[in-house]
Amino acid sequence: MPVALGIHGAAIYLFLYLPIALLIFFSFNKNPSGTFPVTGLTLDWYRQLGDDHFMLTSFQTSLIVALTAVPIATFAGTLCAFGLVRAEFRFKALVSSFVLMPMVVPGILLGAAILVVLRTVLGVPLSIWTAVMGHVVVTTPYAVLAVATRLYGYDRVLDSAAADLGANPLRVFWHITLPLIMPGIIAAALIVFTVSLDTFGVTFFTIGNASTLPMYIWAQVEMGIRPTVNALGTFFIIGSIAILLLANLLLRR
Amino acid sequence: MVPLFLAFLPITLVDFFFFVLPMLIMSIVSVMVIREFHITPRLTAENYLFFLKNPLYVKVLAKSLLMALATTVISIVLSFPFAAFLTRLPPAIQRTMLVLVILPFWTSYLLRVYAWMTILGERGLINRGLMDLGIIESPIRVLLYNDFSVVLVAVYLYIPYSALALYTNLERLDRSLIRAAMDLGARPIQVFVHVVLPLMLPGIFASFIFVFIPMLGEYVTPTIIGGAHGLMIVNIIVSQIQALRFGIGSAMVFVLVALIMLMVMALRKAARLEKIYGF
Repeated sequence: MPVALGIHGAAIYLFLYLPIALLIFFSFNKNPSGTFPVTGLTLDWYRQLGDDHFMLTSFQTSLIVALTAVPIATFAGTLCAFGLVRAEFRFKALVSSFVLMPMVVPGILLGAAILVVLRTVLGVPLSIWTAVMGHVVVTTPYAVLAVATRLYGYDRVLDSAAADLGANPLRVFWHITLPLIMPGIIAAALIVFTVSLDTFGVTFFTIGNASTLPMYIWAQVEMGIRPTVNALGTFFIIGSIAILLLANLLLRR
Repeated sequence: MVPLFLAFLPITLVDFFFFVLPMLIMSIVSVMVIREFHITPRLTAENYLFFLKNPLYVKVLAKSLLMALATTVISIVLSFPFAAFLTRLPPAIQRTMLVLVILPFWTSYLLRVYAWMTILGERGLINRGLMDLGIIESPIRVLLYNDFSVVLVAVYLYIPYSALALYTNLERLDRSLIRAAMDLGARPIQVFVHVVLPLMLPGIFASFIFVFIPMLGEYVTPTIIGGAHGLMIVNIIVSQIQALRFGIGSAMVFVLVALIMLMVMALRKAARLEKIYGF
C-alpha cells in the first residue's frame, strides 16, 4: 500500500476518534470548565452525576421509551427482513427504499409533522408515548438491516431437510429457522435499543414536558461545555459501543 | 412459508400511522388557515407565501443547500482515498476496521457534536496547541460559530456514510478495466477520470443520499457549533413551531421533506441502494 494512502487512512481514523477520546479525557480533568488547561485528575464529575436527579429521571424515561420501542421495532423489522430476503416480487427495490426511508429523512422533520398533527388535528397531549411512536418508526429500519444480514447467511437446505423428515412449515420455522436466526434478532434488538437511547431528532418535538437522556444532554450542552456532560458522555459512549460490538459479534457467521 | 403481505403488515402499519399519515396530514394543514391550535378549513397559500416573501428565510434555505453540498463534496473527496485504503487492508483486519468506521455513527450523536466544542472552543485543543507553540498570543474565535465550523463538524458526522458507500462500490469494481486502460497507454489521471470515476458513480450518488440529506436536516450542529452566524433552515423551522406558528412550520417541513423524498427517488436506482443495504 502506498505510504500516502496509509497516512490518509490513519488521519481519518484520528479524525473519527479524537473528539470522543478528548471527551473521555476531560471527564477526569479537575478543571470545572470541562476543557483545557488540565489541572489534575478527579472523579468528582462522576460523583456529581450520580446526585443529579434530573439526569436520573431522564435516563429512566429513556429506558422506558427504548424498552417499549425494542419489541415493536424488532418484531416489525424481523418479519420485514424475511419478506425482503426470502421472497422475490415486483418492485422489491422500491419497497426496500420505502422501508428504509425513515433512516434517511431527518428525525426532527418527522417529529415536527407528528407534533403538528397531534396538536392541531387530534388534540392529543404530548407524552413519552407519543415519543415512542417516533422512535419505533426511526429504529425499525435498523432492525430490518440487522436481521437481513443474518438471513443472508442462512442455508435453506436446513429447512428442506427438516421438511423432508416430515416437519410441517410451522415446526420447521419454530424448531429450525427461528433458533438459527435468533442471534440476528437479538442483535437487532440491541441495535434498536442503542439507537433509541441516542435518538434526538424525533424526540425533540414529540416528548412534551418529559425528558429523555438526549434531551437532558441538550439542555446542558446549550449552556456550553460541562464537566458532568463529559462524564455522562464517557459512560454513554463506552456503554453503547460495548452493546454495538456485542451486536456485531452476533451478526458474524 | 408465511404469505408475503403478512411479513410486511407490521412495518406497513407502523410506517403508515406514524410516518406517512403525519406527513400527509401535515401537508394538508400547510394549505389551511390556522391560528395556534385551530384549523379553519379554508384553502390558503399564505403559509408558503410568508416564507417566500421573507428574503432572510429564502437566503438561509439557499445557504443550507450550499452547506449540504459542500459537506457532501468534501466527504466524497476525503472518502475516495480512504475507501482505497480500506480495500487494500489485509482481509483479516478489514472487517474490524470497517466496524470501527461505522461504530461512532450509531452512537452518541449529540455528544460527538458537543465534543467539538472542546476542540474548536476558546480554551479548546486547537487554541491551546497554537498558544503553546507560540503561534498565537490569545485564543482565536473564528474556529467556532460560523458556517465553516458547521461544515467541518458535519463532515465529521457523515463521512462514515460516504466512506462505506464508496468502499462498497470500490470493492465490486472490476480491476481488469483499470489494467486494460493502463495497457492501452492511458495516464493515471486519464484512467481516473474516464474509467474509475464513471464506475464509482453509484457510490457518489449514494453519498448524496446519506450525507446531503441528513445535513440538510441538521439542527444540533448549526445550533451549538454555528451559533447566530451558522444558522440553517431547520433552525428557522424550529423557531416557527416553537412560536406555535404551525401553518408556516408545516409548509416549510413539507417543502424540505418533499425535496428529500424526490432526491431519494431520483437517485435510488443510480445509487444502487440495494447493493449497500444488501437486498
